Amino acid sequence: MKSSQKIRFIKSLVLGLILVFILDYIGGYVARGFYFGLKNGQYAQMTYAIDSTNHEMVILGSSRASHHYESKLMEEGTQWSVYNAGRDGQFLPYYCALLDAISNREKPKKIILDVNVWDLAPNDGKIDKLSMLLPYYSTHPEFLKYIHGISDWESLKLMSKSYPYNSTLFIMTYDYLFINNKSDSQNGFVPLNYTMPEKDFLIYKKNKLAYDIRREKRGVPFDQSAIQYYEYFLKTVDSLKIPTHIIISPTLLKEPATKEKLKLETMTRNYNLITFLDFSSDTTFNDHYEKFADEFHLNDVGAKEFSL
Amino acid sequence: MPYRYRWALLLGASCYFYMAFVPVYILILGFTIVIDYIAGIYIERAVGKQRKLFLILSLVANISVLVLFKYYNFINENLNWLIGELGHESPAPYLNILLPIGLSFHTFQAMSYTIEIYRGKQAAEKHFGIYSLYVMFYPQLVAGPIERPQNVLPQLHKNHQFSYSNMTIGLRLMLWGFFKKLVIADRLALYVDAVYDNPEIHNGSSVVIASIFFAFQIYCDFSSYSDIAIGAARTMGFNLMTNFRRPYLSVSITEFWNRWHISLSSWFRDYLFIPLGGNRVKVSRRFLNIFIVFMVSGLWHGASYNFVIWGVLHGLYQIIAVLSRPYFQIFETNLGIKNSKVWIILQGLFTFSLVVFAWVFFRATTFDDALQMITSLTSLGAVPFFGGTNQFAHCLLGISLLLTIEFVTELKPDFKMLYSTSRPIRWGSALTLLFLILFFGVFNGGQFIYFQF
Repeated sequence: MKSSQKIRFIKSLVLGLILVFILDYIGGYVARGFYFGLKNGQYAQMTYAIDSTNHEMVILGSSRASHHYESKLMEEGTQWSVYNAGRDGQFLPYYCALLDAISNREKPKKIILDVNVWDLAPNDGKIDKLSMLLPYYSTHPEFLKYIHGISDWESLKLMSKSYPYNSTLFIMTYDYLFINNKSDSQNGFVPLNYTMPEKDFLIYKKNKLAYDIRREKRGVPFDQSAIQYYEYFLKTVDSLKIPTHIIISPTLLKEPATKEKLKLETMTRNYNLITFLDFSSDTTFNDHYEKFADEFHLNDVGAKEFSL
Repeated sequence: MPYRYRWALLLGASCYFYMAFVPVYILILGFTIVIDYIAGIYIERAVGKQRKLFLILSLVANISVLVLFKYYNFINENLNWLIGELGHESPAPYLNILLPIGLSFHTFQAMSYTIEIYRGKQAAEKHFGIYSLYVMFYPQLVAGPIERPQNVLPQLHKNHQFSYSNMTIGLRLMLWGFFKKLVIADRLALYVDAVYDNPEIHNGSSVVIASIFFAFQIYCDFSSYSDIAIGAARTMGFNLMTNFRRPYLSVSITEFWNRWHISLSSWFRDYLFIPLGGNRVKVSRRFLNIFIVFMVSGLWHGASYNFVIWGVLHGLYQIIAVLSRPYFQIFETNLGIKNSKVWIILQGLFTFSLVVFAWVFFRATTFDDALQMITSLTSLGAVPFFGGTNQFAHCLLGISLLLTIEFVTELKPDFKMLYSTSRPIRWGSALTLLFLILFFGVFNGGQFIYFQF
């Protein structure tokens, strides 16, 4: 009786493991097909930025880069081809990874890196966000050093075929249904076609003041790993001799002179080809909520004005 | 492994599990185990006042360890403040020590052992190894369920045979636990942390969403650990007590506490509320008892005023519920809505809102943060922070799945998915959960919230 139960359990366990393996393999295979089959949308733009950009000017950064730099307008102004490779919710490690991928292929003539005033402050999610690189781990060995930084278990997790596409299904489905048939006429730029309500602006203004005071009181330390990534980025563009602008693009409220902001600026001083531009105190944007879509991002009107 | 040595294997595994955190802390656990083991034997042997004396010695030892590691700095800070106000300087040093993992859980489990022997409901365990295993049984050592000796000790003596049914039921329960932890709790944590870590910068709409999300996060986080613990124990043939029964489907606060962290609430009922007089006292004394129990329950969670306020709020909710019950009954009778579904749903939503409001104090890092969150409710109409539409969509998916399953389980208890007698439904459900874990889970190694208690 006992041994027959054990045999039955072992059979079920083996069957279960086989089914998990099949589910993972087929799921991963299908997800990969969908992911790399996308022609437009954020994943398609990311794949393009990693695999194919050969533009003369490349813009790197987070969502603020993605929504603030109108590539086509900049093309008209500079007479260079411009691609906006900004990605929502990303931080310095991602910018470095993308720089590695792009510079391995073809050197752009100029790079713009849009940094945030909080980029050098601690943020637990910073490294986790690098999971965006997982779909490319097999084709881009230069990403492995970043991927292994996510956790000690990444090599093990990557034995799963579906793991690289974890949390991508919603966006893939949305992009397939609503965006895929349209062409990326904006060269990576993603305009935000709405305006922040005045009421929200006033609430934010009040809250932000309290936030800045509290931050100052707390004395938040630097994120040393972020500083290392920033240093790596600066050294890489310098060694590749790519003229680079490090830019803090316009902010809704004037940003206080925090130590993180100062550090972002002072670290660029050692490099001749790197210039630092700070628009966080630009009064043509500060308090002009009609040029913003939300607390952090310019809307299409603001982006156009900034990119001109 | 031969039956007679199994306890040693389990105890060894439990020691290894506990020592994975701070190895030296096993000595603290060893200290209370030795004290309670000896106290149990002496309580059983003694007569008259001596029984009480041994019980008190055991309780003092347990509570002293708890106070030293968990509450010393809190008490010290408050005394320092008081002494400072009087113009003096406190000589008591601040202790820079890590809180032993699961201290409140295993201390309470140990205390229930000596109390039950004192009450004559449990014989003292003579086998030191088995008693140690009662306190240290690894599935429930660090986050419960807080077991009773009557349930666990006989099982530790039993010669468990391999059982296909136990094995598969346990594994399915663990799978459900992993789903709640990885797909729901850890996903919600991303949004909740973003708002609660920066309370000043977020408007009322975001605070409301984050607080509702936290309610589901903590439920899924904690109940998932219970499911995994109960499931792991079940695979070895042990039955641990149920710790959660769909608490957010409660239509009153009293019902909520009959469904939430059942092992702790029943501990407080049996070892604090009833000894204080329970319900068989004057109304005012009864209210005081309720108040004390919930305040201590808040303090059990952590040495901070926020936890105390959380407990006090629940105490007040209970008292107000008792006071208002006759008026509600008149109201329900006059309007004829007692069994109306809409009325039941409204009661459920009201109960949930009260629970969510109390969670604000539980989750906020400081009292000032909690106040800031509550103050920000004045800006309720503002556009909320979404933290990325993808993240937000995952949060909503997780909550929707959970609520659907909980409602179905509540309303149609016979409708079983993972435990269906039909193999295709059973396997299909398990594979669906696995698929959801693979594609929607968060694998950032997020800790269980209740480990800190």
